Amino acid sequence: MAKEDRFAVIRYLVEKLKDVGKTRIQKIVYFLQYVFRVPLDYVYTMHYYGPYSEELNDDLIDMKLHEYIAITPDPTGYGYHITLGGEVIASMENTIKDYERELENCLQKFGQLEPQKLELLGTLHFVENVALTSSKEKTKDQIIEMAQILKPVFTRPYIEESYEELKNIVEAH
Amino acid sequence: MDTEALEKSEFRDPVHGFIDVYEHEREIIATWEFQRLRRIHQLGLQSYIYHGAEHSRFGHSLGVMHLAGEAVKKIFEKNKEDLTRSLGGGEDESEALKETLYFAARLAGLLHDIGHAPFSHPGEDKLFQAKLRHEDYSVPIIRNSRIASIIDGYRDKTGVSSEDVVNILDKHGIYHFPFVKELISSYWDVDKMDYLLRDSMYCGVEYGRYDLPRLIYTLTLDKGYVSGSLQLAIHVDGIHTIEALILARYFMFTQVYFHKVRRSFDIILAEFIGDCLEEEYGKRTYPPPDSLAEYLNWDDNLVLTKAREKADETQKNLAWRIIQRRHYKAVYQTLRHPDPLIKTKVGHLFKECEKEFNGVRFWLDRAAGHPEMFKRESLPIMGDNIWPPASLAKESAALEGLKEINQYRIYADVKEDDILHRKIQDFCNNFMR
Repeated sequence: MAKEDRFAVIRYLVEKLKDVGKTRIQKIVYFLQYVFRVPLDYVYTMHYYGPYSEELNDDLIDMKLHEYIAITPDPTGYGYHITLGGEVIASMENTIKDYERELENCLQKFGQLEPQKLELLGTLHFVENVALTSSKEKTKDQIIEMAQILKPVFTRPYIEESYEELKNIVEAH
Repeated sequence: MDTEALEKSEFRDPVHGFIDVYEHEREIIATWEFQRLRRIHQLGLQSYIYHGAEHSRFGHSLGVMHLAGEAVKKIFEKNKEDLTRSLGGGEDESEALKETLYFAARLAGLLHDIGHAPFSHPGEDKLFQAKLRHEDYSVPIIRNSRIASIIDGYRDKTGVSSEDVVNILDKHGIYHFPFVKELISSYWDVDKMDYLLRDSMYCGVEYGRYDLPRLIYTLTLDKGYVSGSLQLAIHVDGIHTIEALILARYFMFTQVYFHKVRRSFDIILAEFIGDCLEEEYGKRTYPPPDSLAEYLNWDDNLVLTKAREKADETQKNLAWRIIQRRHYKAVYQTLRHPDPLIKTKVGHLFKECEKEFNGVRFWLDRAAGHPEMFKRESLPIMGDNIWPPASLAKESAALEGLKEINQYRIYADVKEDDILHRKIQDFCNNFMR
């Protein structure tokens, strides 16, 4: 997808999500790409807060430079607030039209979730579908075990419950 | 695991002095794939500006290996209990875990640049097939060469498998101790710690210098405060050294890596290599990772040999420019942090130049770097009397004013015609006035 179109998608998400943090936007875009198949082509890696794309971070900074969005640090020193900037993207309407259904579905399924929940769902999805594998198929137990190593703050029952939740969302789509 | 059973020798490194090299690492260094790094310049044709900058990815890789090991040792000493507990182990396993992490980090450091293309970075966004980067070649190189069997052959002595190294290096890999991945690739990784000092030394500049021993000594983990995982952090005593690293990188970008002549040669190299690839394969991209032998055949020597054969002064062609150090001329450049209005205007200027000077080729170059990103990621600050951990983003007054670099330049192929060069410069200045 062309840069301008990626910018349009991100600006649309920021508009809908209002004041959104970096963790949330990273995860929403992740699901948009991997579950709802919007061809954003971001490369995601596993970060402390779940799947994370350096390229998306670069785009956010670029968008800030173009004033499509504003990024302000949280007073705690951890995290940022992303809001709409003063500049508009001319082609935005056309781009959004092409992916309207996917965007709405993604926002409906994931838009209301807390960042921590998104972190866990993103981690589970990444471990199952994106993470490097030495050709062996991953079982549910292996996926949950790996997610627990990556996200030790969550209990195993909660991870299992979230895994089922995610499965339902993905299958329903 | 028995580290003592590993033979050790010392290499003399220009930046770090004597560094230990273990026998399995020596075997990897001796492979054809690793020796190729001697023929990949660290900074492209930077030596055309700073003549000392002839260093290669080979020395840098050894430096990163050394720093990765030193950092892990220091971090482990300070976080032994947390790290051992996170693996569900007790005191007995502590030493073995320390050595495993030490060797894993060293091997990842040693191999982190194994997939680099000729001259390192020039043309990376154009000369690789869609979405590929040099990092995407590293894993196949490790898996499909002797390197994997060397690593696996020493597993009983190091505790590290080739898949562990792959998982640390690969963007989709998951390693049980994520801080090791962060140490190898992040905003404050050992890659930057090495290249800033190394590039400064070889370029003969002071911009990239900072207090490395202090920085390594003050690296620690955050006790899981930020995300639940043990994340890289810095002791409060190290704040100024990490600030110095970030500022050093900013200065190196503005003064060295984004130098206007270097950027011009990056354009020339990318075009010339693209031509060579097209001649060889019918398309302007490197062979994909499943054609490794073909890909690894490309190194600086091959490109320079081709350039020497094709150089033609009468045509003032790309090959001649490379061999004779004749770069495209910058006819206009913005400041490093231009306001949005200027940026839009430069785009218009570029189009006007093409219209006005029919027959002259122009390039619009954007040198962008985001030192501010250091601030965007919250490196936790730890200390005996500090809880919860503070955030570098909030505590660092020195980094407060740092801005993204976003410099635009227009280059022209004026065929060494100084009068035409000045004429275009005047046109640009008048347009932008």
